[in-house]
Amino acid sequence: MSERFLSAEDLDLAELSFEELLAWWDLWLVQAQCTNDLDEHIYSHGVFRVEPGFELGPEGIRPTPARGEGGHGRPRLGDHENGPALDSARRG
Amino acid sequence: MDRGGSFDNAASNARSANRNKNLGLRPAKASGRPIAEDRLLRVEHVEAQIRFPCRAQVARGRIRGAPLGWKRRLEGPHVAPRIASPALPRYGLPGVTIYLDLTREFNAGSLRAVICSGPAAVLHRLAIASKDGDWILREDSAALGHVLGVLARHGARYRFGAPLDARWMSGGWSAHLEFREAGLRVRTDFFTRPPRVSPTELERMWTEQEGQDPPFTDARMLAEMKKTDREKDYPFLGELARRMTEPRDRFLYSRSADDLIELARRYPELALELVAARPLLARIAGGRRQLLEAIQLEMLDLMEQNEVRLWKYSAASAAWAELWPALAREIEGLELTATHACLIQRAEYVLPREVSA
Repeated sequence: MSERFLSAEDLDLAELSFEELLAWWDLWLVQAQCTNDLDEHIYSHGVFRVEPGFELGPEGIRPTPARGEGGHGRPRLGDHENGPALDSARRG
Repeated sequence: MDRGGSFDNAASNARSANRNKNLGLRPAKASGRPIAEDRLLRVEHVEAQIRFPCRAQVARGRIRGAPLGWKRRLEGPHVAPRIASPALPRYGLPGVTIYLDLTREFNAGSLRAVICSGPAAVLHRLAIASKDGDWILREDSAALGHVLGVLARHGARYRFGAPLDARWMSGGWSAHLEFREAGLRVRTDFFTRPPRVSPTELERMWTEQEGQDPPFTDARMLAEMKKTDREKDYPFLGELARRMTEPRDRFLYSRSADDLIELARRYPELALELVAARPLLARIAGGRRQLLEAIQLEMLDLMEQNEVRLWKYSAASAAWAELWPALAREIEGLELTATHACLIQRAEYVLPREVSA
């Protein structure tokens, strides 16, 4: 069983000078702009996950179905009062 | 739980998109050439394929013959500033260094912002996997006002989130702003109370990062912030632990059964001492398989804990989210300072400052 955590490409970063690192980061970011449409409504850090009106599912992000259209909608005050189920609690 | 789906893995998506567009990116497989040379060739190749000749010239010109070391202040010619003020030294490359340039602007005169999360992982040379800038800010009105002023000069707008104000930041909320510059979408995420980081650790960070350029969170704090509900963050944590030099830290953060078994062989008393802080260390004696299982279960527990934490913020901000579409229309076209004042006025009635533990 391998206990390597990152790819060779990632591990290569340690070999770069600081300026090379910046240049590579720069290029990576330019390329990554092509995914802007895919993550337009989501957050990568902080306490928010999606913008209002959207929800995350197994297949990615989608507009929140309006209530009464088969969707449960965005969490609202009073919904799921006990929060998500905790498997860790069940395991003790 | 978020298993790190492809929609928010920008690196993977960028590679996929380039493949789809037949841009001809070479795989990252190591070649026989020295690593830096191989990467430079890849840089040139990418540049040629995606047709950024000017950027390529800049990158090549700066890379070659520039023996600049780790965390050393960059010297030499700088490109013209992207904005008129303030007159701060630039890192000298367009693009991603916007995040480092912004950090200097945030910290002009005194330390107010420390880079964390994804960009800190880059600066630790773990991986390049985040398009956004993330900072821990000092929790005082003057510091937050300065940061907001910098963002206003860049033409930033608020995304849905908490106001960048100490009253909400002190409750663990995050603020999110965005602007466009040089063809890039620049997202800026802010906290003053990062999750799982104690006040003592935070205070130590401000002391240690004073005078650093760029200032960024140390390995332990980055590791704590990587204990998210996203499975994809845990490999970073595992590699980060291998970069730690103190046996105590490696015991507390390692995600390798082999590494932990070896550490316990070398420091058996320390392993016992730290069991209270990390219960899975008690499983070392049970062998590799038991330890591997415990490592996986620990990850699942941490993911769930973060999921619960985020759920609480989601529930607490439900009314704020309900109000946001109308508010967004109201603030559209306003200057950032006016937007900020408007958000605070509304948030006072809708967004609780504290979220119950």
